[in-house]
Amino acid sequence: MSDTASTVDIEELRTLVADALELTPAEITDDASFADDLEVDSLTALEVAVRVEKHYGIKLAEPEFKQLTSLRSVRALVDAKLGEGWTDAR
Amino acid sequence: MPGSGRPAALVSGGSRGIGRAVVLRLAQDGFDVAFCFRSDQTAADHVAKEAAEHGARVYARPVDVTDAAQVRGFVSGAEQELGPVHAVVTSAGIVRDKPLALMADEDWHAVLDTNLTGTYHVCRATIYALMRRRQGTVVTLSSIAGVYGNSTQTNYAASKAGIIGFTKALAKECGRYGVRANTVAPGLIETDMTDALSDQVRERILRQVTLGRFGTPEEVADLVSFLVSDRARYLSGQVIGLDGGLVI
Repeated sequence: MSDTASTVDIEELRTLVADALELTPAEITDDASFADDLEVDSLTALEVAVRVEKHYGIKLAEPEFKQLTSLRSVRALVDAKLGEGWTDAR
Repeated sequence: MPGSGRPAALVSGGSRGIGRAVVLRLAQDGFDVAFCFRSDQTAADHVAKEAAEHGARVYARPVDVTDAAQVRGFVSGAEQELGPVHAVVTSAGIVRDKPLALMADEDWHAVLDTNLTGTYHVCRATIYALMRRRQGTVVTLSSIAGVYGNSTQTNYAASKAGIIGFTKALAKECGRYGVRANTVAPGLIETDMTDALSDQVRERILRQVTLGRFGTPEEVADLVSFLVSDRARYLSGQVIGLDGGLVI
């Protein structure tokens, strides 16, 4: 992933997403579609949201869940949230 | 404002009957309690006062559970006032009994909308927060009518059977997040709803109850108290009958 402006460590995020999806980090390529390429169902995909929120201390709005479709999109969303300064301690 | 140190519970239909008993029991158990009610402000005020006497902070609001936006507003207000919700109990329910041949469409829809869709709205508005924190419990109120059927209650039985399927599916979805969901299926419980039964019907049913009496809302609340507690930590996806041995 070539986006050097990101504040999110991509390898750390890859591992986090892989754990959530019960896959290996190698399977989580930057643009692999969770649904189409990795055959992740919607319930499992929710696990990504839960883990990302907790790890980065952010809170996602429900419509944003739909953006969690690939590692790249997850990173973009986390970047955007961190950029907003949105943190949630709960 | 969050921070009392007490966990928070959220109860729908909390001003009367089983819901009222659940609110008071959970307050006694050490929960702060948010509850909604349809319209009986006086009854709700009494419940809130009693719950507060047990040391609970109380957040009570009139809510039409058939309205998703109202439910979301209530849940949001409860979380702001009391902090994260740990236990969710859906108790709001109505009856509109009629033989199916005489059932009015509006009675069918009113019962399904309140009992089943209302349960959906409350759970829908609360579940992600429980999943996110990887803890919490949901207890839905079904009925023996939802398990075995009851004549003149096709609407009610359908709604309560729906709640059973809903709760089992929810338990399967949320187990991996450490969230449990169970449903209670009371038999004949002394409430406003059973008061509406004719003496003839009450006597006929009572003859079938092994323990020879109707249950009390407090006895249902005792079971809910157990289900939301850590003592029930390995219990999920179950339909717990509480009917005095009506069906064995």
